[in-house]
Amino acid sequence: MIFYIKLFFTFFKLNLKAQMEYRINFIMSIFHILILQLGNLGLIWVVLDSFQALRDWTFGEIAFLVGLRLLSHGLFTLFLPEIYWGLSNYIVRGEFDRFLLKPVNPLFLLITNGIILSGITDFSSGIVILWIATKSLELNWTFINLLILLVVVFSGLLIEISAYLATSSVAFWVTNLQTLNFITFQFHEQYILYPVSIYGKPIQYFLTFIIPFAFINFYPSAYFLDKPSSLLFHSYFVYLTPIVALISFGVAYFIWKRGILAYQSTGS
Amino acid sequence: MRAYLEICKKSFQERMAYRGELLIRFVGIFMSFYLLYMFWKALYANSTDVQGISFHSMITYTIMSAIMGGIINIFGILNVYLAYWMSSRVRTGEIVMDMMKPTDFQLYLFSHSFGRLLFNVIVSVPIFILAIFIFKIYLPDSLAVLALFAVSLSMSYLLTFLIDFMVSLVSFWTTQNQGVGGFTRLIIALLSGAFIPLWFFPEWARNILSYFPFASIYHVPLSIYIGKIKSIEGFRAISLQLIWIGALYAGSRLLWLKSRRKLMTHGG
Repeated sequence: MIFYIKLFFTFFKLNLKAQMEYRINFIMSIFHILILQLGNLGLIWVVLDSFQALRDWTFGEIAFLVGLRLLSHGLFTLFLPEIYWGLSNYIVRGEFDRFLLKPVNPLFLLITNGIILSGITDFSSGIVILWIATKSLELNWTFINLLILLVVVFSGLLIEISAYLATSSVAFWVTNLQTLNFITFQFHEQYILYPVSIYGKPIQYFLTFIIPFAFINFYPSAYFLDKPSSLLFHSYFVYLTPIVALISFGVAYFIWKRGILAYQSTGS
Repeated sequence: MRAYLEICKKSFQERMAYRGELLIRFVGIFMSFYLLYMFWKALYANSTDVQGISFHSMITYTIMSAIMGGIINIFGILNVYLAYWMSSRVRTGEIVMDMMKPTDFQLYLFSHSFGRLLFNVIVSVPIFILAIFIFKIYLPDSLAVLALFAVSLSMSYLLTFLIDFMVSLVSFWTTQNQGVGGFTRLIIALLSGAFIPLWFFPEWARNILSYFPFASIYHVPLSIYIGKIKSIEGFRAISLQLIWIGALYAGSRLLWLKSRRKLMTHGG
């Protein structure tokens, strides 16, 4: 375990140095992400000024939803982008072998293979947006709720990891998988910016039971904001985020393991 | 003239070679259609007519906006292909070969971009027809309105091209310009009415925006299409588009002369 932690920091330092090579890109990306996130929120503010609510969600509540997603997504982008941006490419191009040649868990090797520094900006804009939501809704953060927030953010991170790990691992069997990856990406990048309850039943089922992105921000927000009227399946779902996260990681890790077996047996 | 036609034809054929990407494009665009539809449906859940715009008109506006984006953006919302192309040509030095050709450089790039435009228009036809059936978007009231829309849309394309051209010239100074390119696209996406029509914006914001060309890119053609801007007002809006094209054309020529001199002083 200590070996892995040490190794993690060594790799992280190396990746950080590599990223620092592109300092101007990094600085541009800070502005880009800040304006992208705050600008999109601004547009939502603009329409809700005319419409009052998105079904029964007010501006502050949507800001909460957006901010919560950005916190876990920022961590994902910073530490684990290889699961989404790298994995399927390595498999398809036959470069995956190098992760199997070392006496370290291949998943560990994969995630330490790269970082994207601008994840910090995603994370920080998430904090800013949550702060805006807090102001707008006059929320009181108790110590317990902050602890729960921490659990929710890490569970959300685990759900995102699982979703991308599972979809990318399909590349072990099917080579042309861009479209599948892209669909997962669209759901995570676009659909969960708004309450899942605005979509039709099939999409609600999909985002709850198949790729459970709704547990990253929709159900936890319903818990924090006390919104029973928007609950979809069962009122207990608001508490399920950590359990869903563990189950999805279990499933994703299983698919990944089977994928590696399939990869080895083709004997390349 | 023949040379330019050839370039245009070649760039069209280049796009044809990437037909495989069309699946992703179709999936992506219909996923965003569905999202936009449900988003506005949830907003209109509490009201029938907002700022004199019915749900039906709003859906037509927003879906036509997405289709238009596929046509004039050439390469997606945040990816400026012209800037990408130019910066890689400048870095490798191949740009010198382009400039030595006995053609006008800007026209050369325009023909190239025009070939891609034609391809995009053809791809958009089935998308448009499907959108009529699935999302019940409507056709303009009369042929005259349709013609006016077509004229205005062409102006939007010219504006986008001129802005992209100027952005891509930045690479003569910095070699990297994709940050700037993506940033310009982001600003256009937020402020041109591509997502949220400008009539929802607060008065002060609209006043500021009237000094910029953004509204001429999306807001004007789409408002003409849905019948929000009528007859005389439509002509006035198109004249404003023309004035912006004139101004940006002059600006781009000036910038081009400067960029060329910059390259010469480096001994190219």
